[in-house]
Amino acid sequence: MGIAGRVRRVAPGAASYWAQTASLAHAGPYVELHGPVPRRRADEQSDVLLPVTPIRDAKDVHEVVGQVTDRATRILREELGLEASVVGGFGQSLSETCQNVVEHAGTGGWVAVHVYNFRKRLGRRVAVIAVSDAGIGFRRSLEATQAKRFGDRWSDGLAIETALIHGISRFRDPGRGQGLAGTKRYLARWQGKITIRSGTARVAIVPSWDDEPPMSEGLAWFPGAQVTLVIPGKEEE
Amino acid sequence: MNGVIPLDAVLREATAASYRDLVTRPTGAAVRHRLVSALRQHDRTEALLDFTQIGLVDFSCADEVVAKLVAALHELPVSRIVLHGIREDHADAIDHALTCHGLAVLALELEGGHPKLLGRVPDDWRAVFGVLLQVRRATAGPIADRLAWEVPRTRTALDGLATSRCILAHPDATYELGVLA
Repeated sequence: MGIAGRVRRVAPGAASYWAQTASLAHAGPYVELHGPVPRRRADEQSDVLLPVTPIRDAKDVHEVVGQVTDRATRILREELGLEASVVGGFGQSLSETCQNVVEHAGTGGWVAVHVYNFRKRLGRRVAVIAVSDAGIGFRRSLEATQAKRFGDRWSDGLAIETALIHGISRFRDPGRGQGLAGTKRYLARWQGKITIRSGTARVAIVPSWDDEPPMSEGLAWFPGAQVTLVIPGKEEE
Repeated sequence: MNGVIPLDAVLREATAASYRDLVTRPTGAAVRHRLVSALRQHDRTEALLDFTQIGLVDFSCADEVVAKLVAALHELPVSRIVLHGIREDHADAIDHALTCHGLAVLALELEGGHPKLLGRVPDDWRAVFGVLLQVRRATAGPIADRLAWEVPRTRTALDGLATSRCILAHPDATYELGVLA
């Protein structure tokens, strides 16, 4: 299979994976696909808790949370050994991360939830929530209220840091910013990780089991934002 | 007279959908507006918000439904609101939202109905609340004796809880959790 544009050929394994996660089902309007496109089998057993799913409004967030809850609860409890309260927090974090797209991106986005085996890094299975959009990004979202404070230093990295580390939202309502703050608290409690990529920067809150730098700047331009949450399974005794 | 308000029914009415999760700010705001209308008809009563049939509560919705409702309680005719059927993950989200606003509320756990305080609760408030759970109704004196505290310190903590509407203060200078708890 090939994709028109800068990527010419795709390895068969990657194409099959993209089909399994439903990425290709949503790719049509954005890329030109050539050759046979693998299809996702309806009966396929996989570690995909939620295939790539569009997020456009609050209704979609309700649908995603409702859809992922039953299957995710079983997998998170039985396969990752997580307790009920951890599973509840997983749903809350999923909901809040999806809402960021609706409230801040200025356009739609996508969410997917998978289980992976982080054998080398952690020696455990993890659940990963990935939410991405091609909207205005953190820098533009916060520019009107925050850029003046930083003057010439204002950058993609500082914008992400302002939201993620300092919990500042572009809304003045004191209740705003709680979603990200609550998600951070949840991840800290369960040794989880959050990474935000927007513009030319990536900022992460890194748990002890990982060695990613807390901030990377000067990266290739990424329009919008990508938020990734990693929730580790229970340590085997 | 007391009123029980099933939140699952309010959620369905507010969204015109069969949702069981209290998620997103628009949903939370719609549910709060319905609750305010319902609470305006509960003159001088205690209102019990029943979470028993609610699935997930996220942080934003906890802020819209519970924190903003508790903040606006003085504008409503109800004496107080108590949360009922609260799961551990509900409690986490609600506690976080209330703490951000410096508010507190009395909640009854789903398993066993055990009363607990959620939100910004000073240590002294927690201590007198723990004693009140055992004695049910008392003046500040006996509670101070149990804690080996001075009475004024005990009364300050009890009055704080009463002002936050987590407990009831009676004209005979006694305090209690109330019939809902």
